[in-house]
Amino acid sequence: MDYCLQLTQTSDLCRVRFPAMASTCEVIFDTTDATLALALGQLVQEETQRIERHLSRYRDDNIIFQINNANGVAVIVDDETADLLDFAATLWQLSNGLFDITSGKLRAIWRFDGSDNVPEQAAVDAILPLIGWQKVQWQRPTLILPAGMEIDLGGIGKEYAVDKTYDLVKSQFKEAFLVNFGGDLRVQGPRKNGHPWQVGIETVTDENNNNMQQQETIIDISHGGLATSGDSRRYLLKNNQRYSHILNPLTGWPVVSAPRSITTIAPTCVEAGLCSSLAMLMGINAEAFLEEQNVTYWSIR
Amino acid sequence: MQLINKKLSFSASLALATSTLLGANTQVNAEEGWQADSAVLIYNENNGRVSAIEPAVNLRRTYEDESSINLRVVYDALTGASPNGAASASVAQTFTSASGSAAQTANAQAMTSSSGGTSRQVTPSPNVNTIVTHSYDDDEGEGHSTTYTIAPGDTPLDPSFEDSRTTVSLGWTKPLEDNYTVNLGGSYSTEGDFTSFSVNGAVAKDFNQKSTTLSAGLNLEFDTVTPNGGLPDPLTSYATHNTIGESDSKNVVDTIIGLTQVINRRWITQFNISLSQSSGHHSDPYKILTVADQGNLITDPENAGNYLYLFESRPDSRQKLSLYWQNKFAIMNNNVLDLSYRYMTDDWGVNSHTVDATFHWQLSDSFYLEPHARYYEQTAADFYTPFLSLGDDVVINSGAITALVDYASSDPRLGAFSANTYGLKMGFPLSDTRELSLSVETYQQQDKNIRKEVAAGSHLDGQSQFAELSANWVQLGYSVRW
Repeated sequence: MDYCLQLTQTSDLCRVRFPAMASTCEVIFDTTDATLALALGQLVQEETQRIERHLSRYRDDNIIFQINNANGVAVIVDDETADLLDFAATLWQLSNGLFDITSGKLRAIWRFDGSDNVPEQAAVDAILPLIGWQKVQWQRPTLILPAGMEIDLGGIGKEYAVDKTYDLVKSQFKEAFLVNFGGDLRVQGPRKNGHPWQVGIETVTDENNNNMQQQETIIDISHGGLATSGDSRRYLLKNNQRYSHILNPLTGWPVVSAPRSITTIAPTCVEAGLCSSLAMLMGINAEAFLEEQNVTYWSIR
Repeated sequence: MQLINKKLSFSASLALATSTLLGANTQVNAEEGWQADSAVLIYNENNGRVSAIEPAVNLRRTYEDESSINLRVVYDALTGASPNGAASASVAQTFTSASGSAAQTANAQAMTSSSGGTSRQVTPSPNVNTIVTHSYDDDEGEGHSTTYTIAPGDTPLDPSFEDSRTTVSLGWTKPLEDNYTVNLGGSYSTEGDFTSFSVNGAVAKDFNQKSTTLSAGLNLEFDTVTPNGGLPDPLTSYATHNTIGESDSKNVVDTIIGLTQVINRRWITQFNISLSQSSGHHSDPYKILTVADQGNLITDPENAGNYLYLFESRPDSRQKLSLYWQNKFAIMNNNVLDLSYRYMTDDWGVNSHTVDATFHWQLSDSFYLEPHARYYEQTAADFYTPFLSLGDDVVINSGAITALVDYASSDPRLGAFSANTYGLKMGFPLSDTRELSLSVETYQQQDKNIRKEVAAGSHLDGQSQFAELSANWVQLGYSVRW
């Protein structure tokens, strides 16, 4: 039986964990008040599940399903979805098309299972016409998506949930806390003991399962969001060419020479997530892009 | 030719898009950044008395660990006329001031009543809004000897009041472990004949999920007065102008304990007790008193042809205790009612009550109004007197002037009066980060002193014994965050 919510109390903090969004979601509260932590944890869980139900593309009862199955008919969307679509439209423009919520369709031909199953160019060419935000007519609150196209807010959904639940906790809890959804996180600090939160960046293993770093990187953070993009377990390998799971929506092909992992810090988790995933899309220029934007980052190649 | 139309950087555009996505909540977390507040205050006392122009700039830098530093620079330029302390009489009176100007009078009082942040306030804790207010007695102008004559029935005003003052204050605040916040600061103020230096420190601790804050603070102030023409010998002849030195000093120790309590989502209350102990020179070197015999001006036995006036004299220490209670109520969405009461008592016999009400009325996102009303009243200091009486307070024996009192002052700020202040502030938030504001205030004093009896038909008969002050001021403010 799956667990629903787990509360842990230690000598100086409380932690609540629950599974959602294909990750382990946790909130660590800088308090020993377990009753309070449990109550806040349940609020976070409810909000996370609400966002997941609302935005998941794996359901058939939500707005995303409605949009993806409208067959070119206009759909009027709710405020929250509209805010996210506005955001996606802005980011598409800012990234010159690299950030595109219509690119999910490429997954039909790219399966990153560690095999050498690289698709033919013909298959890519067949799918490219169904990709591109410029083909979408979006005039808040009305969305017209050409038949056959799909949108997927998975690229920002988890980070968005982190920030939303962070705001929720912050409005009711005055001490330090940390929201961590599968490595995408946001912290409010410093802790009562004066220390920042410490976050470890997941180590990356090579093809032979050896750690690529000597030791885990520990980041001190007392304010803001942190997110990691990487391809540690999702890739294809053919003729010694490694294909990362980061797909360029303009070419339909995986990004070449991207770092194995990029971790960034930004005021919010959404910003951190966008910075790290856009950096990955820049491939060889990932670090240069982040330097230019003055973003604090850790890169593993 | 390149148009100055710099495109926002990617990260700035992303931050903007994200704040739109996540709503106002993310903007409330004051993250790293600067804030600058600037203001110009134009102060004007009616009847041609003191005018002041006071530009002020406040710079604040907030860091990621929620610590902040604050730098404030204020410049005052004062001109006009100020009461010299002599009584109005039915005859013309001529004064020759060695210094060329009189002290700053009640304007300090009126200005500390303003809410525009122009008063000299010491705020040793970030959680305590208004704690100790000093109004300094010693002010004067650039020193040329001037002679002026006051018409019968007029309040003797020294017309050559001119001064400028610069104040620089620096503060630093940092949250520490276990909900402690520490606050350190210092301030330096200088003008022609007066310098003031102060250091302050405070510690605050939050309890009950930050709904209770207890704070304790200490402020030490060191003042030096160097009057033009030297320090006058108290209670001796104004015309003779004997001095007892070039300069003197005054030290002030203020301690404050404060409690702030969040009662509920809509009500926050704060209570402070502060004790102030000052020692050293308190007399105003430019203030004098008339000596009258049965209400008639008398000739200075040391200076034929002059009426007799004596330099004032104040005790060399002062202890003040003040209690302050403030309440803020959130009403509807963004409206705030701020009600406060202060009681102050000191060992000079001055007891005061202040009731203050301000209502922040948010009419739209880009406009708010803040009506403000304040009532103030105080009793007179034990040694306050509009003039000295021959025989009772002063005797003259074979040409020698002897004061029978230790202390005497006719400074209106030490008299009994009440005062009303009414003001209106208009605020125009131009964006999330910029705000323009304009405030207008008016101040009116009412005499509450018991009138001192004088003989019918004498020089002082029927004359005003207290010059009620009225003043107006306008302040234009601009704030920007980045």
